[in-house]
Amino acid sequence: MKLSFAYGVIAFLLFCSCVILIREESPEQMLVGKWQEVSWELERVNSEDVKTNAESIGWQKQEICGDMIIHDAEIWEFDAKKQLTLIKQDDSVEKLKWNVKGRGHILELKHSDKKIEDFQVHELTKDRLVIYFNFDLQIRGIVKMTFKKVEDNTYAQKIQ
Amino acid sequence: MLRKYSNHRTHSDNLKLGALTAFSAGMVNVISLVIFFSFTSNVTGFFAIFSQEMSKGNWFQAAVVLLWIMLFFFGSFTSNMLIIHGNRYIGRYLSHAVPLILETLCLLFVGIYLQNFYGESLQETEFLVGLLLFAMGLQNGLTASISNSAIKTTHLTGLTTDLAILLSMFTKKRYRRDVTLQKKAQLLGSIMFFYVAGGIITGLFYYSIHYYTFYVVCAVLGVIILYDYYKLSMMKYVYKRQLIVTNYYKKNKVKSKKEQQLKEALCPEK
Repeated sequence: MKLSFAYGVIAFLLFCSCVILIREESPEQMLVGKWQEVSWELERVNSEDVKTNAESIGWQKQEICGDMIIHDAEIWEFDAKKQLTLIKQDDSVEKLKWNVKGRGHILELKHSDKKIEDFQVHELTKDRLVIYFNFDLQIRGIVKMTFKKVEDNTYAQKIQ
Repeated sequence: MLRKYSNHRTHSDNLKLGALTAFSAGMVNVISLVIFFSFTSNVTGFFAIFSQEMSKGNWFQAAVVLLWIMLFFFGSFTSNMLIIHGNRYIGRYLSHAVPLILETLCLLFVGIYLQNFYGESLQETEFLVGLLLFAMGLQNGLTASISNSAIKTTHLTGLTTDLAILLSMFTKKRYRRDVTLQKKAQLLGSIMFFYVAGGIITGLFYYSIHYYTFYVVCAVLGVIILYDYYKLSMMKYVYKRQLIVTNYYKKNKVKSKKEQQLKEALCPEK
């Protein structure tokens, strides 16, 4: 009796997981569309009395920001064919490839010069996207980017 | 190192199996982290992630993580099933080797798929991570099952605890002299060393050999499977030879006895 209960629980969990996977939208599908960058924040240092010297700051900056590219107030347009179009403030356009990795928590951007940026997807809803630049496996944060979903019509109106 | 079971295993058997499987697990864990951004040789973290995703209301991600945990579970389940049921039908060596053969096939599939078909979609990533977790479950189930839970090579949480306890015990002289404890420390230390070594080697060579790393892991597993096959074949060969020689001598002895009896019958001594 107890054994059949255990097997039943496992089968139930398996069934639920499959149903959720079929019915819910995957992060990959949710990302498709236009996203407007609303904020670009550097996270604060928690402790104020941290003593640092210029040399160590420089080394850390190099270590942390080696692969980082500063994205300034842009529209990020993810299409279903895995192409990301970055529309900058001066209307210049950059095209890159995007992939979602892990369980849907890593956004990988591949530039045409083969430079790769990884972001941790912290929050992804239908109208809000929060990503952190992924410096290291154990570090999240320092650079936080927040986006809001832009409907095609509103974006067209803004341009007009 | 593969065919012996439970208490019949020697320290050397455990050392060899522990070191080689830990090495392969370390390799798989690092390569999956590099390619898929996900650990595949341990599930402890996934339980935490599952809870976190549930609390955030990310049902899709929670379901993915739950499926991954279950695949690791099914790997260990399958492994032990094969060992306890297969023993009667296919013999001890084969029933112990089949989980490793399945694991090798899973890794081969992942390697080949990555090289030829991988389009970097989320579905593919989730499926391949799941397959690797299943493979690691198979391996962990096998080593734990045949060694009476002395060897677990896909994660180091329990091992680190055990090693810490052992080392603290060694602060007492009578425990330091205990050969069983010394051997246990040796085993745990070597598993830890080879797990880390596998990870470092993968980290160093992945960028030059890329997806071929999976074939290296398969080769390591192949060594484990074939080592015992070779030993068994040699034992069979030696046993057959011994049997032939014994039979020959037995026959000759019987012959000479019969000859003597005949002689005695024909020419009885006065």
